[in-house]
Amino acid sequence: MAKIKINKREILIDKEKILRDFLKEVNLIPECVVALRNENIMGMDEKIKKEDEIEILTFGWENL
Amino acid sequence: MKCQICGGKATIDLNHHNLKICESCFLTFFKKKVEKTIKKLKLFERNEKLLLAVSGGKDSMGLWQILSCLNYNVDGIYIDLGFGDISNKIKEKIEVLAKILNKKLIVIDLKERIGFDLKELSKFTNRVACSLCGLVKRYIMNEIALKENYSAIITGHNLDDETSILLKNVLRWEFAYLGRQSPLLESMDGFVKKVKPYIFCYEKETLLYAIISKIPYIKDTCPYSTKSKNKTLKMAFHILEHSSPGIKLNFMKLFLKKRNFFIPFREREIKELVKKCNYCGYPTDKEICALCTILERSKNENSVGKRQP
Repeated sequence: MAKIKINKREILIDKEKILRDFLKEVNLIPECVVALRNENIMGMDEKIKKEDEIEILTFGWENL
Repeated sequence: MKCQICGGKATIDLNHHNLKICESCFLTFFKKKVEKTIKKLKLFERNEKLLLAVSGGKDSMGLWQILSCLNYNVDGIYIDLGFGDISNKIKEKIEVLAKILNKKLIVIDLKERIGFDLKELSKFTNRVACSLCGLVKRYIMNEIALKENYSAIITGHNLDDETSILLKNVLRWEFAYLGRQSPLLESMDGFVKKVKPYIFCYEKETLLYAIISKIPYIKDTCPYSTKSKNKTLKMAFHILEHSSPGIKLNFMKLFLKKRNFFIPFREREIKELVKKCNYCGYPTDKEICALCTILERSKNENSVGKRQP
């Protein structure tokens, strides 16, 4: 299961999906986030794999 | 996705520049962008003694590293507002970067300087926290810059910060504020020059730069910033930017082209700043400046208040 940290929230997903699609599901737009996988920048069209731990940094959108 | 500069793997998509780019090329691209802004807007020269306002965040920390790489003579100033553990953590990170860059860091403890930390001071005024913080920082930085002969104060305000303020000023038709909003405010009697080299840099770019360069910045946001109305405007701009990439940059660039219209309103405001504060000598349009007014109020309500001359 992939573990995704967004600010103080943690979301678990059991299906592989494209980062851009995941962001859409959680109401985030690419313009206000930077996603890190193993401290490396992740492209918006990259796939989130089951074993991934991803940190999503948001700016100007922290209220969500 | 291929990097449009080197052909390697691109992980960064800068829609506003219609550019897909790899991490390595991004660092070069971003540094060049900042340098181009400094030169094009004639913000400062290499022979100037510069003072950068460092908060510990991605913007000011990244900017300090870039300006140092570009061989500008830039020292840092950090004002400890008295947020306890957070302030200590911030100070540690800034000290680490100052050591890496081999630059001078001036640390001012607000409580030592004026007798109150920010939270204590806020009890003596109706100003919201961000407004009070800005007032205190502007005052102290200007004072130190004058005393230590710095030619300019540099801040890390990025495009997202500036466009949200610009929109706020437009929504309120604050003509004098619009005349004052500029990446370059020249020095005048009692005020040091103020410059913003990140004026055309998206917040996403400044964050990417700090991450890729492995700059030791603080990720936590200010404990008071959740109440800031500018965040709503920033969110609005994110949505606009998503549907029209580059709209933020155009909004700022077009404003700067038309800014001359608002300058007379700013000049009228400057003409009113002919007085010097009776207590500290800071330029003001009243008998006593805004900070001294708050400190005077504190004396009436709290005998602990002290003030250095």
